[in-house]
Amino acid sequence: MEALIRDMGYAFRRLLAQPGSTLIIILTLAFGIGVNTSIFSLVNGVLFKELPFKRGGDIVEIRQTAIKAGVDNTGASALDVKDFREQNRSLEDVIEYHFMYFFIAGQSPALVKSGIVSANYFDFLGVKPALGRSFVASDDAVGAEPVVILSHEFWNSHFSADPDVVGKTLEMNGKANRVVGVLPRMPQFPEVNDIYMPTSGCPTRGDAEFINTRSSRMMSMYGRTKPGVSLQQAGSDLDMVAKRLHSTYPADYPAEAGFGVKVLSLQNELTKDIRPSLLLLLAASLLVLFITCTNVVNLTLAQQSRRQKELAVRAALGADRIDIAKKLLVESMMLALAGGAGGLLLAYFSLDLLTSFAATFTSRASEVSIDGQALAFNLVVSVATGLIVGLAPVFGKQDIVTALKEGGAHATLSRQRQKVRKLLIVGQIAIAFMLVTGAGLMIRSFVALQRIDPGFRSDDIAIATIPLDWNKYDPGAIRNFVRELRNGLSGSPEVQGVAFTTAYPFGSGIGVSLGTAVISFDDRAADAGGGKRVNFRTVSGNYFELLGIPLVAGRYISDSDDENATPVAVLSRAMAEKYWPGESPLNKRISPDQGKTWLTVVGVVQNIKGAGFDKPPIDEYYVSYAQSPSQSVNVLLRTKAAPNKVSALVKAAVARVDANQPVTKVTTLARVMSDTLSTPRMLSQVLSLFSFLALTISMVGVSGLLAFTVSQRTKELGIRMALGAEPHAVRRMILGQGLVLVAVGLVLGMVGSLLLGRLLASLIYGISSSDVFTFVLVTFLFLAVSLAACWLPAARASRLDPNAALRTT
Amino acid sequence: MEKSAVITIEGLSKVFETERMETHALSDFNLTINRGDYVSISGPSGCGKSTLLSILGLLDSPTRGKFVLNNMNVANLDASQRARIRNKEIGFIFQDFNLIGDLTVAQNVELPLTHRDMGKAERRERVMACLEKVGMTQRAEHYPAQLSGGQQQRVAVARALVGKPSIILADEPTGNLDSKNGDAVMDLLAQLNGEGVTICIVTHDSRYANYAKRVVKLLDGKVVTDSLAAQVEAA
Repeated sequence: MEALIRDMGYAFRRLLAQPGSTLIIILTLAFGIGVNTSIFSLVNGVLFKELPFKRGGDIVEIRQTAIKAGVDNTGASALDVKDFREQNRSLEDVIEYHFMYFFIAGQSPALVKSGIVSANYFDFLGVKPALGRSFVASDDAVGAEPVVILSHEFWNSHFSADPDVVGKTLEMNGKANRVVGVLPRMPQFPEVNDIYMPTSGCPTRGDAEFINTRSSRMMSMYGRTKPGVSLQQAGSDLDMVAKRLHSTYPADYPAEAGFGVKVLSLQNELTKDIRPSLLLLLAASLLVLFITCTNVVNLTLAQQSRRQKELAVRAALGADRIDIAKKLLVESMMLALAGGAGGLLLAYFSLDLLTSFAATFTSRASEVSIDGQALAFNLVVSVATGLIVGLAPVFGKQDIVTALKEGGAHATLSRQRQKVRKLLIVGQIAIAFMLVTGAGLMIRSFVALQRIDPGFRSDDIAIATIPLDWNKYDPGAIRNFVRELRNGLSGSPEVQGVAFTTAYPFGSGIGVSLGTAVISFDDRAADAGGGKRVNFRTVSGNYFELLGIPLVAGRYISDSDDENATPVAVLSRAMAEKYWPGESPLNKRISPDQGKTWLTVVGVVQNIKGAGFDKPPIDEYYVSYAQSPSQSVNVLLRTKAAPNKVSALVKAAVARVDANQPVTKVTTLARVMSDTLSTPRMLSQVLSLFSFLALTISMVGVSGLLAFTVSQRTKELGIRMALGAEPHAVRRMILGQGLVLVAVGLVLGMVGSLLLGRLLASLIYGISSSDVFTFVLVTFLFLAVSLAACWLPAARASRLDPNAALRTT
Repeated sequence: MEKSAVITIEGLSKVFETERMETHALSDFNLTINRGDYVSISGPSGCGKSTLLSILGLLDSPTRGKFVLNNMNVANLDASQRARIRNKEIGFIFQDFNLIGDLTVAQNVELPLTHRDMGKAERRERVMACLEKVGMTQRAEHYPAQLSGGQQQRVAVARALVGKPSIILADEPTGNLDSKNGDAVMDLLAQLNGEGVTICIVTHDSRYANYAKRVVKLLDGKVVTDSLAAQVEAA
C-alpha cells in the first residue's frame, strides 16, 4: 500500500510536470470514453435493458395476421382476447390495449390520450398505483361506473399533484369519470398515455354488440410466457388455439384472408426498427474508442521513449519488469480514470439530447439514463483503457544496456517501438477511414432520400389537426363544421387555398394516418382478387389541386361529390394498375364494406409517397369527405404565413364555428416530411461528428508521430543534410514516410469499409454500399488532410540547421 | 608547377550574437588550401576550429569576408545551394562517425550519391570501390552497431570519398578511437592524400596533426602559425 501511494505521488508529480500532454491525454480519453458511455446508455436503455415490468423479458405480443389479405396485424376482437386468454397453455395471462382521445371540459378545450386496457393490465405489469387502487375485474363489466387511473405526469400537470385526487371526477366528452388511482412515475407501455380506463370506458369497446362481434378487431394483445416456456413453444401453443378458432368460426376467419397468429418478443418488437441504427452507433463509438486508445498509447509510447533511460536505470538498479509495469500502470490508470470522469460528465450533459433522439422512435426513451449499468460500463472502459495504455509500452524486448545507450550519446530510434507506433497509426487511419466512409454513405443516402419526389407539393402547406367530439358530431354536423370552417378560412387574405382530409401524406397516429379497408369489386369474385386490404383517405374538393397531385385519368374529387351524389372514389395509379392492369378502372365499382356501399371510380391520380421516402408507393384510394364524413379532421392550408400566425388563424376560425373545439396540432407538411427523416438525419449527424473527430485524432496522431520522428532523428537529418540533402529532399522524405502510413491505412480502411458497407446496406437508400463517389471523395479528403498533417513536421525538418542538428545527441 | 586553390578565404569573420553580447569566433581570417594539400588545423578549445570547419563545410555562413570554393564564391548562398555544393565538393568525416543506425554500411556510404542523378548500378559500383579502398567490403551489409569504432570510422571515410569531393573535411576523426584505431585511420587518410585527395583535418592532438603536410594553428579566431609539417617538426 505504501508503495502504491508512493507510485501515485510520483505519477501525480510526473503528470503535473507535463500539463500540456496530460491535458491532451485526459481530454482525448474523456471524449472516447464519454462517447461510449453516452451511446451505451442509449443502446442499453432502449435495446438491452429488460422491460421494466414484472418479468419484462417474457412479455410477448400476440399478433393476429391475415397474410393472404396482405395484413400483418389485424388487431384482436374482444372475443379473440377472451379465447386466447382462456385456451392457451403457455401464457400466464393475456392483457389487451388500445388507445383513444377524449375531450376534457375546462376553460381551454383539450384532448387527453387514454389507454383502454383490460382490468388485469397493471397487475400483469406488476405496477402498483402510487395513490388509490388498480383496476378490478368489475370495472370491465358493461355498464360499470366510469373510472380512470391517472398517469403520474398527468396528475402533476392537470391536478397539480393533488394528494386527494382519488375520488374526484374528470369530465370527458360530457361524461364524469371517477379517479380511482394515480400511477407511480414509470416508463409507460406500450405507449405514453395521459390516463387509463378499463375496457368499459371506451364507447366502442364497451358496446355489447362490439364485444360480441368476433370480426370487430382493433385491440392489441400481450401475454407473458410461463417460466421455462420458449417463444417457439408459445407460438406453437397459440397457433393451435388459432386453428381451433378458425375452424369453429370460419365466417370470422375467412380462409381466403389467410388468418394466423404470431407470438413476438415485445422487447424486440418495440425496438426492431431502430435496432440496426443503434447497433451501428454502438459499433461506431467503439471504433472511436479504439482510435482514442491507440492515440493515447502512441502518445505514451513517445513519452516512454524519452523516459527509456530513466526506466533502464531503474531496471539496472534492480527493478523488474513488474515493478516498472506497476509504475506505468498507476500513471495510466490515473489518466484513464480522470478521462473516465470527464467522459461521465460528457455523457451526463448529452443525456437530454440522446433522450429526445430516442423519443422519436421508441417509447423506451424514458429508460435512457446514466444508471448503475452505465456507470459500471464507464468504469470498465476506463480501467480497460488504463490497462491497455499502461501495459502496451511494457511489452516487447527490454535491453537495459541498449536502453541506457539509447538515452545517452548514441541515441538511435528503437525500431521495435517505432514499428508498433506505425502499426497503431495505420490502424487509426484505417478505422477513421471506415467511420468517414460510413458517415459519407449515410449522408449520401440522406441526400438521396431528400431528393426523392414525393409526388406532391409540400411548400407553403400548413396542417391543423382538429379531432371532433364523437358525442357531438354526427355526419351532418361534421359536414356543417367543415363547410363553415372552410368559409371562415377562405376569407382570410393570408390563405390561398383550403382542403380537408382524414390523413395527410406522411402523417402517423390516430386521426392523421391512412385508414384501411377490405375491398370488394363488382367486376370479379372475392377469390379472384377481392377481399384485399387497401389503404384509403378521405379528402375534400381542392385536395389534389392544393397538393399538386397530377391527374392521370378521369377527374378529381370535387365539392359536388356530396351526400346527395353517387359515392365516388379516385384511385392511385398503383392501385389502378394492380387491380385493372392494361385497362381503365373508370366507372368500375369498389366496396369498402362488403357491398353495403359501392363507390364508382371517377379518376386516377399519380402515386405519392406517403408511408416513407424509402417505401414504394402504396395502393390507395380516395373518397369524398362529404360522402364519408369523419371526426378526424385535418385542414390543409396553402399559406406563406408563419406557423404561429397560422395557428392563431386556425384556432380563431375553429372557435368561431365551435368555441369548445380544440385544435391539437398545427404544423407544416414540410416539417412532417422532415420528421420522417429524423433517424437517418440523426444517424448522419452523429456519424459525421464521430468521423470528424476520428479523422482529427488520427491526423493529429500522424502529425505527432512524424514530429516525434523528426525530433528523434534530428541528428540523422543533420547528417543527411551535411552530406548534401537539400531542404526539399528532407521535406519529401518526411512527407513520404507519413504518406506511406496513410496509404497503408487507406487500403486497409477501404477493405474494412467495403465490409462495413454490407452491414450498412439495410440503412442506406439510393446508393450502393460501395458507392464509388463516396469512396473516391473520402480518399481524396484523407489524402488532402494527411498532406496537411504531414506537412508541418516535414517543413520543420527541412528548416533544420544541419550544423546544429549534427551537435544533437 | 603552381597548385590550384580549392579553398580561398580572405578577411572572413564569424560573429555570434546573443541578446547580451557578441562573440567573434573568427576575425579577419585568411586561408588558402590547394589541391592535394593535407592541412591540419589545431588550437586550444574555443579558438574557432569548429566554426572554421563548419564554414569550410558550408554548414554555416560567414558574417563577412570572401570564401571561394573551387572558383565559386560560396560565402552567401541559400540552404539549397549550399546543400548541392556540399554534396558535390565536400566529404565529411566526423568525430563520432555519424553513421545512420537504421542503414547498412553500404547504404550509409551510398547516402551522398542518393542526392545525385545517378543510376543504382553506378552508385553500387562506387560504393563497393570505396569500401574496398577502406577494407570494409565484407561488412557492406552490416549495421553500424555491429562494427567497432575503428571500423565505423573507416566506413565514414568511405562515405566521405564516395562522392569524389574536392576536399575532405575531418573533424577530430580520431577523437572517439583508441590509439591503434586512431593511427589506422590517420594512415588511411595519409594514403588517400598520397593518391591526390585534398584533406583538411581539425584536431587538438599534435601527434595526429603532424600526419598533415601543413599545420595551421589558431588562437582566438586568428591564424597564429601556418607552416609545413617538416618545419614544425624541425622547430
